[in-house]
Amino acid sequence: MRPVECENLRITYRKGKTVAVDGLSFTVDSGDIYIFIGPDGAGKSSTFKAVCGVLRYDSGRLLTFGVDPNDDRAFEPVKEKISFMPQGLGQNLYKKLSVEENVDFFADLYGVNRKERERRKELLLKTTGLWEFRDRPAGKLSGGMMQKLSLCCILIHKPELLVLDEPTTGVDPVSRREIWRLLYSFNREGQTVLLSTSYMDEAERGTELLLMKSGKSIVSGSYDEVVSTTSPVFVVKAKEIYKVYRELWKITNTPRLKGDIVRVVVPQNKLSDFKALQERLGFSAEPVDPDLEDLFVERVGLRRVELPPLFKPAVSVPEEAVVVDRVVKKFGNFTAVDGVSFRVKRGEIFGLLGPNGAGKTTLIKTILGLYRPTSGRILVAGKPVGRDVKKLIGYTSQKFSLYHDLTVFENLIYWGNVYGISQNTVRSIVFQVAPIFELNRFLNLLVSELPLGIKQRVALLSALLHSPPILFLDEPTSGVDPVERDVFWQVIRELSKEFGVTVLVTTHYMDEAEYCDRVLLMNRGKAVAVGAPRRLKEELRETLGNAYLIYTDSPFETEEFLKERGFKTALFGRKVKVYSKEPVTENLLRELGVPFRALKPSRITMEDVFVFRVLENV
Amino acid sequence: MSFSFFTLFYKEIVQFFRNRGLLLFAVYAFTLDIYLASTGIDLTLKNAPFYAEDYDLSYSSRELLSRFPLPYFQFKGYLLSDRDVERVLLKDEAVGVIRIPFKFEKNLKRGDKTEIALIVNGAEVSSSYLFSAYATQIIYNFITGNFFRPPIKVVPRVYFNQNCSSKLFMAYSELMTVITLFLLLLPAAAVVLEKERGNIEMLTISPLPNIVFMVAKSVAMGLIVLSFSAFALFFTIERVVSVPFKGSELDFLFLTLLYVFTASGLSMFIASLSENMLQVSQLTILILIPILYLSGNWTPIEAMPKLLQWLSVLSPLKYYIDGALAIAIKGVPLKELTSDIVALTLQGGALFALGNYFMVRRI
Repeated sequence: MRPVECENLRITYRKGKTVAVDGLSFTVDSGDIYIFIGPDGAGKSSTFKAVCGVLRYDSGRLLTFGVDPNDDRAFEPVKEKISFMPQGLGQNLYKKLSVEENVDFFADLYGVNRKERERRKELLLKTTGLWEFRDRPAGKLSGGMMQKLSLCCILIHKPELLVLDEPTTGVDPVSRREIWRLLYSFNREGQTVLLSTSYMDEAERGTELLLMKSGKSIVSGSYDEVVSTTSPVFVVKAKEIYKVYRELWKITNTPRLKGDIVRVVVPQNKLSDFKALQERLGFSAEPVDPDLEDLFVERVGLRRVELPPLFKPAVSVPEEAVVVDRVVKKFGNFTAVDGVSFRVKRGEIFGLLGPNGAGKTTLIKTILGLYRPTSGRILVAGKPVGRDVKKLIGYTSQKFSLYHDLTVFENLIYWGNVYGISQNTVRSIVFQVAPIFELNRFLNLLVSELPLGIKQRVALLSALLHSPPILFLDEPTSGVDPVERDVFWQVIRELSKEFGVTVLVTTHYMDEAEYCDRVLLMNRGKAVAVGAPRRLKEELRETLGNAYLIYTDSPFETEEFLKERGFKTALFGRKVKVYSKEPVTENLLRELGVPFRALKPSRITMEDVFVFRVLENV
Repeated sequence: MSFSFFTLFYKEIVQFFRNRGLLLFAVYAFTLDIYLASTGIDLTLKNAPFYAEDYDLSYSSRELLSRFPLPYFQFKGYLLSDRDVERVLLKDEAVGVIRIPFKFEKNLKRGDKTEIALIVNGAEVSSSYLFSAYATQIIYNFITGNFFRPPIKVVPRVYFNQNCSSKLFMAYSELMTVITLFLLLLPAAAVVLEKERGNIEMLTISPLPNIVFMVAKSVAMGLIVLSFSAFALFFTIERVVSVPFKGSELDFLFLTLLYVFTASGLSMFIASLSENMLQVSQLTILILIPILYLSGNWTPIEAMPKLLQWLSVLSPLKYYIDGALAIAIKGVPLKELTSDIVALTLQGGALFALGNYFMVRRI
């Protein structure tokens, strides 16, 4: 019997007014690690809740272990075979109970006998590294630790199917790898995992994947079968990369500017145009294997955004736009920011990267004067933050800070007014910009009715009304799909490169480092590394060597084997990522006696940089 | 840099009207609640059930019992033993029992001393208290009318509220309670909502001074309460409950305006101490109850212990009630209420300034 069979599933809210899932079909086989990928609001959570019998579906056929979850009585015995972990950090934990008490509670809930409980508890807590913290209250754990404890709690009774809703969102990369390792070891015992994520780069870690958007499946299947585009993908390099990027838009709607390269999917019928353009501009184009994002943009298509010059700031700021010097911020005994220093140059896009709880938001709020630093020096536009500096700053906070009960237009008028901009000026700006931001049909809607991506654009626009020379953006792209995210980064890039706006942005998506000129990696209040993303990766490549992916049927044994031979490794589903200065070839693997199916070159990612920097520092 | 106050106000007012739950509550409080309080709560005796234990059964004793008329009293019948008396009182079937002794008529006519017992159900405090007062008066009138004439006659005259109808007092008292509640609740709720959603941070980072924002907010909320009060006054009280309004409505609203500043200043204190709506409601109740107690709205200030009498000086509602009731019930013009106006202005100015200052400091 298959764990989940689903055909034409449809789930609606508000009596059918909002369609969350629209004709979704998928099958989870026993032993799968099935990954749902998609932006917020794609319908992942609704599907999972329906699978677990927590939410009623409207129509279609859904069977969990052969039983219809809508049939409450029949489904009751099936519930024992499933463990469901809802979205959010540590949602199922009791914050005042200790780590051990939480695990015990869940064990009792599922009637695990005492001996078995003690044995599994020790095993789980030791593999997750929580054993030494077993007396600490759950509420005092870091985000990553909390998530690991949540997992321990639902694994204690050996469920046959594990349903996890975004277990890794906002979790630091080190904990993320530990969580995945735990899932793999669970899966190795033959149990099934159904998991959702909004990180595109986690797609490779499962056995099956399903890419979702607006309640529908875009593609599904195993990663290597699915992730292929009908047209070839190129990585373009050139001296004047921005010019090339602009020209590429005339051929296709898929170019993405990442640092000093452009990634583009060129449709078959445009290949000759592409060649002609290459000759004319003289850039290099290297064909590469498509990744999930390439697939997504090929299917959905990106949108070009060009800003009118009205956002060009009238005031210029000093060469060192933001100076943060040995800043410490403590809340009682807790040190949220621990001696961080950096300087942001005028016109630069500076990224603060780190997991939830790393101190990014506290740092940005301290810079903006919302918190008084415990010690250290902060200068914005050459001065401490006061009224005259505030005029020079644009800010969007994590929650987007729009008034939900006002319309988009009312919000813009209000936020304009707060910066002393007259209604008429705001009106004329909105009139010019609304078509570019595609906001026309949303202007008279309440913000509460907007999709997340639109909210993000409105928030950005409201922060731009007074043409600030310095922009602070706190987690602006959380949960937004790749198309929306690309629009957002186009705007940011244009502001920075064309108009000289300085941008300081925080994110927990490691892959967004590509869009920044320089990044600061943060973990537990401390700066882990600072520099241009390309240079940070290059530095790691110099110490670790190149990365390779080994496809194997026994990933755990393979990894152990390689580790014993002194290789640095990481697990990626049925693959092992290995870093080596010596070239790794199929012959070398055979010589070493490593069982493998295939070998592919891989690349060093920002996540690798983070993980290795953190582990080295520890 | 100039900010449009109109835009600041507009936002607050639009947000209030789009918050359906709060709007519904406000409409209810300023209409139905006042109506119910003034017509439903009656401080006079109505249809009080009583029994008689008549051992005399003479002409005079029956005549006396017939003097207890509807709609104040309701005669339920005769009882034959003390045990029955206990039974009806225990079961709350009667507010009181009148016991008339043997030879009542004979003794009266002879001019001898006789006693009538009033046995009252003390579990119902106010009605039993009224019962014994009314009954004493009726018995006294019966005896002086029929048997002997006393040398003094007491002639009461009621000014302002000739029928001594509690409707009048209850209507205005409830209106002022509702006004106080909303003045404490609305500005605090509006501020805390901004805190909860993180908008306050955006405003702190903007060049708009926080104090301007806070003042705009409390003024907008005050205006909303003021217009609701006007509506309650002209519609609910004058039309629906239809009790007379003696003075000038404008005077009444002017006094309310002064009170708006005082109470919304307090509301800002609540807002500065609260992180979420739950705390706002808790603090509102915590502040509202002493203000109501100390205002003399529920019990006359003179009847309170000395310490509370001194503390009552602090309740802003006291001055407002003093002044507003004088205008509404007695028709006193504004210029004769200087002491209340001065007290309200001083207290209002201080609380409004302090409340907003405190709020801004706490952000």
